Amino acid sequence: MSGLAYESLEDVEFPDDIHTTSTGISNEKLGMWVYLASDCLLFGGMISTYLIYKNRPGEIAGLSGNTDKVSEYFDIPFTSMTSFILLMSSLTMVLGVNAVIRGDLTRLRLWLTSTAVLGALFLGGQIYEFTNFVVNDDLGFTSNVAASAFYALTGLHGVHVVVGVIMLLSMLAISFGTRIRAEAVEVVGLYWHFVDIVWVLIFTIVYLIP
Amino acid sequence: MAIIEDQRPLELTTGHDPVAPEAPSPLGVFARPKANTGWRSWVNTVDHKKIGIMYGVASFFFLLVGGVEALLIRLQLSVPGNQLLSADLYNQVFTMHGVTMVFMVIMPMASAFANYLIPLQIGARDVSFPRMNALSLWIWLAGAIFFNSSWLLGGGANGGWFNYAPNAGVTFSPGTGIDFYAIGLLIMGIGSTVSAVNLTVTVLNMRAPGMTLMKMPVFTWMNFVVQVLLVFALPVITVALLLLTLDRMFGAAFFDASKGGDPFLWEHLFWIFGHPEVYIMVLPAFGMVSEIIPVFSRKPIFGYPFMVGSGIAIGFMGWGVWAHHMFASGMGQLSVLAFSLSTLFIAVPTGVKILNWMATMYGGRIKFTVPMLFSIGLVGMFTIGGLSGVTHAFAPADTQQTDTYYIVAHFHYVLFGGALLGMMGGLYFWWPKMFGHFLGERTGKWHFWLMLVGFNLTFGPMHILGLQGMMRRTFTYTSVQGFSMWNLVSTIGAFIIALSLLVFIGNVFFSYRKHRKNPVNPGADPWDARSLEWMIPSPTPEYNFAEIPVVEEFDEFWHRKYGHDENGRLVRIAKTEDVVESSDPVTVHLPSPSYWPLVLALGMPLVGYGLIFNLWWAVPGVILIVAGIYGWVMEPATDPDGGHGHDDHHDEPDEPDATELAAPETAEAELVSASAGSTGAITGEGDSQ
Amino acid sequence: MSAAVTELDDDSPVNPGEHHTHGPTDAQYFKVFFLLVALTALEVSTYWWDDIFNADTKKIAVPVLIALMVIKFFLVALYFMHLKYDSPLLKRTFYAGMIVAIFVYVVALTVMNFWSDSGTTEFNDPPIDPPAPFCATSSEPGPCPAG
Repeated sequence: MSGLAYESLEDVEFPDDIHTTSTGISNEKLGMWVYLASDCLLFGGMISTYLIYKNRPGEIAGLSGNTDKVSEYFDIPFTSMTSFILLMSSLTMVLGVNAVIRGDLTRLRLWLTSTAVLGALFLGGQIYEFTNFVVNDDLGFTSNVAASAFYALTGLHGVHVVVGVIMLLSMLAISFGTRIRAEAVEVVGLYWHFVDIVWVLIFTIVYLIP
Repeated sequence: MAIIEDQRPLELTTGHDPVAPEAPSPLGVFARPKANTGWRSWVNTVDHKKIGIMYGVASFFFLLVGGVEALLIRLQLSVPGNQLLSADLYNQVFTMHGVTMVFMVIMPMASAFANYLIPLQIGARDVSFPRMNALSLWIWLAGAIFFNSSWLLGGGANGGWFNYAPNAGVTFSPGTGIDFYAIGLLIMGIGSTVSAVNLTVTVLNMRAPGMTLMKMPVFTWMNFVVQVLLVFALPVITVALLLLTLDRMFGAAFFDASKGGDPFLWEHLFWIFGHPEVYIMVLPAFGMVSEIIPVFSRKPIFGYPFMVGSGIAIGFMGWGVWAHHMFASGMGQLSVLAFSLSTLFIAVPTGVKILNWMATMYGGRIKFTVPMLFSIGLVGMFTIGGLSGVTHAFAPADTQQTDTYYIVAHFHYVLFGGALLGMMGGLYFWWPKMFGHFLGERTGKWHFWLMLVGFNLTFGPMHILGLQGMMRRTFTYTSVQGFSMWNLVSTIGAFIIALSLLVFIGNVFFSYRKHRKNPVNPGADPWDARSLEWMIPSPTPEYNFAEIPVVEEFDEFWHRKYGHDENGRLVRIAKTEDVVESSDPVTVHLPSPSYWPLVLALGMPLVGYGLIFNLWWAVPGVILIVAGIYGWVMEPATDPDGGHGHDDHHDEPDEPDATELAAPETAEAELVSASAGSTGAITGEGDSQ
Repeated sequence: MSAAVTELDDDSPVNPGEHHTHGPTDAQYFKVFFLLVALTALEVSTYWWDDIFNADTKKIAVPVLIALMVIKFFLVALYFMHLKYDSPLLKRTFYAGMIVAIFVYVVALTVMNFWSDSGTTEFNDPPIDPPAPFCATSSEPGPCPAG
């Protein structure tokens, strides 16, 4: 077997079944990828919904409140910054994965913490953005269909980020226990990167393309 | 060439000490469950066989619920101008009937077989994530009960099973029925997603040594396709249901044209999911029939690669035909043309399957047992349904047929004549394997013939009614419309189907009583069958395989029993008793049972009630879910005190190479040291030799 | 398909877990990250292109943005998510989901006339040039003659 570097590790558990599955991929990792493939269709559906509604804020009778397109209120410099934060969290995540493979638990904790903090910062940015829309621009969830679709899409992504942050913090907690599996950190990392690439799509399709 | 030589077991000794010491309770809440008998053993089980049986029992219960709803529909329509059900109640009854039959009968019954049989057919001891398997059962059951509780809490859903907007909006459906529909399906969708991911990974990762994908039985293959379809189709309906929930409960207007929304979006999202769903429902039955027909024709399945390939082709092409459900929606000539063509093409792989089954039977020594009768019934009835389906592919004809009883006739021929008949055959076929005794053969024939006649009496006349112009989802008709006679015939047929189900229940009951009085074990291989699940004793022992078999070819078990003489004739080369497994499984270690999946699942309907009635109800639900997740994470998958902390996956390398086969001691020694390395749960030595 | 299936079984690496040693180093991760940052900066800059170039740059900016988005997507997927280094089975799984998603939603958007949407608040704008309807009483294509 390869990976002589692991030999001296005391605290890192490697997957038991990695050399026993038919494909050589651990169940957890394959399961996560299957789930991510499934999530492609979830976000695809939400993005399509936004695309269909983005130009139809509904200057139609019966609507009260703001009927402007949500895209007229985007603050591109601010969202660019939060996008950059999320991108950076992907970097800290892979550094964490490399750390746990090396068996470097101190660095692992550092990188997990930074990833979670960056994710929380991103969420804070999103909350700020939503509040700004609602309070200053009078553009609520029910103002018009474009706004509803926007909030639903970015909100669903936000929920994914929240779940990711919780998973990262759980990993952090587990790393203080007796056993942490390198594979588990990697699988959480996969989820986190997926959330990041979905944001890459949303940032371009929703925010930047006029 | 069959291999009967004495295979050295490659089995790795992982767990020992079946009598485990008392476990400390994880998190101090639940003692690690230990019960092996009684109701507790069912509540906390992670055994794929028990989970499969529970899926089966629950789905059969819902079959009776949906069946009663169907009888109510037929009673209401038996005579013109009937006053039995009000228009509103009729809407609820047919909607609940449709949703129940689709999501709570056919899908879970297929899940029952998939859970029970996939690990057996690929030579595994369990699925890849045993606790997640339990979770998907409980979540599905919680969602199903939640959905049906709407009867008691203000009335069922009444928008039809595809629940078109704008009728599904608050304006036209102010009651809570559609909320139950949306949230109930969301909950069941979570369960199905978990189960689909689990079984996909199981098929890919848990195969016995030598079991390449193209040596898997057709049933496993078809279910694999189904799980992949589920993985991709469920998120689409999730999006649709989320948007519907936001519309109904949070004031959005995604499907409300008066506020700039687009009802069309619901139709698209629903049918992008809905058409693959049709194949999700029917492919498992196809798989079962593909197992049953070869056994009772005593011939291998004809054109195995085509059988598999056509299943995959159906799976792929199923994504490109959804808008044929929407020909009447005015979506434009080009769209209609494109979807009409793709729909015509998808008939090809389905036809391949039907011809392959017939070619399998051709020239075989056919035994007309009950499972075989049901299978032949499927081939015939599905062909009728398939052909009427092709008539829908032609848009001009379809525009006439849309929303008439012709459509109702078509999809009942496909789903009842296809899926349900196949699964009834599967029950008779695998019953001895699951419960260790046969279902009565003579009663079974009564069951079959009653069901076949009743089915054709019920749904055959609907073709005529539909072409005469009788619309579906209309609660009554007048005597001058000329629908009276065939409706009465159809109602009589429905009661014959009900009678056939009673015969089946009686069969289950009396065959069990007979078995209790005079237990006769049918033996491992009562039908002289072909695939791996028949190699192990009946009923299946908890550990499935005492020794994981090493697979050499397709229909491995058959090839261990039969070979060819010098003239190429089929000869028996080994007695069944010599081939089936009999060794004592002292070294098998199974995943430990757990309560947490049930705890997690119980939270889901509470959150649902909270969303519908009062958000405070959601609080205990969320607490249960969070507690379930954390209890789950903190509890090791295998009880460290119940043996040695090692998952019970088949512990061999995938393809044992020649050196390992020649010197099993070496391989075994290596694996044992690998397991020893990780039983300490700390070191990575096992991976670093 | 069967060819792909046989390949699938050959995916089993001899030494599973090996990809850890073959995965990118920290330095490589940083390189990928800086590339991503540069691409993002370029993406964001399109927002001011109209002002900088004093012209309507939408026709150029949109394809550029989509191309950059795709590149970023694959940089993260291939390097950060190790798809490049892992078993091809994972790649196939993920790409299958992506392809199905792109296919069904692009077709759905097309059927809903998204691409021909003129940007008005009306939904389901008809295509700019609707095909001439046939007239049952006339042999010529096009609407029925008046009267």
